[in-house]
Amino acid sequence: MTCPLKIYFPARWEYLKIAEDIFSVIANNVTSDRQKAYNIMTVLSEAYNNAYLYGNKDSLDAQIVFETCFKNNKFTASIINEGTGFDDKNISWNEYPSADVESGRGLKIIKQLCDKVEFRKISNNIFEVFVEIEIDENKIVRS
Amino acid sequence: MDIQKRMEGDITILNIEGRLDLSSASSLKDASKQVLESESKKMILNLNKVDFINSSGLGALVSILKEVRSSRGSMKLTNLAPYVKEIFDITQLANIFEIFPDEKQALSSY
Repeated sequence: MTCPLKIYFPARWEYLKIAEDIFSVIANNVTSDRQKAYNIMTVLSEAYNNAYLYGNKDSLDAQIVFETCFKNNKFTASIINEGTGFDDKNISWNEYPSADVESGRGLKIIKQLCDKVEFRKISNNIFEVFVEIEIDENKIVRS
Repeated sequence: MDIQKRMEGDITILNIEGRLDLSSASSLKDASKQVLESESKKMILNLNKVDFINSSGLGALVSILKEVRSSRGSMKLTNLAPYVKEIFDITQLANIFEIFPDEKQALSSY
């Protein structure tokens, strides 16, 4: 994989599936461990959906920037969007929404599946989610 | 996502294929609503061919379960791939849904 690989997605509904297709290809080109590849795709999908849902949807020019790298057995990715973001100190990470609540699970899934997660407020209207997932040396896809 | 519907007695089985995510969540909710309103209060969702689910897909299933319960029906899930089941486990939803290994066991539970 080219490192870093950077993709600029228009922050629009019709690009959701395209982004997921790309995440699936990336995940399956990083590791042969099916569960781990699935976890990578899940994490990227959750972060991207979050960027789309809570980012700037009013502007046709708004973008979601996806940047990824895989080296030294570590898969890393940043999803950057135009939005105010949130303060992760205000999230109760150990509490999941009750059974009748439809939303509020995405960030917790990300936290659970990653070895490292950082939520960074770059500026007043730029927010970044950074994730890192370690890959078993024996399960790395070598091209 | 593709949804195929069939009946087994008074039970509606929805076979779902593809990704259950933000793009497809509303289609599944619509299909389930149609079943509840016009066909059956007993529903089985076969997730055998669901190759991906995220929190939006889970949200859709929670929404359907709420509707099913409010109309005094019941909904069961079957054939979850291990990596799909893991998402239910880590979000603590595995205890909320009735999950069966296959359709036969789900059907015989009614």
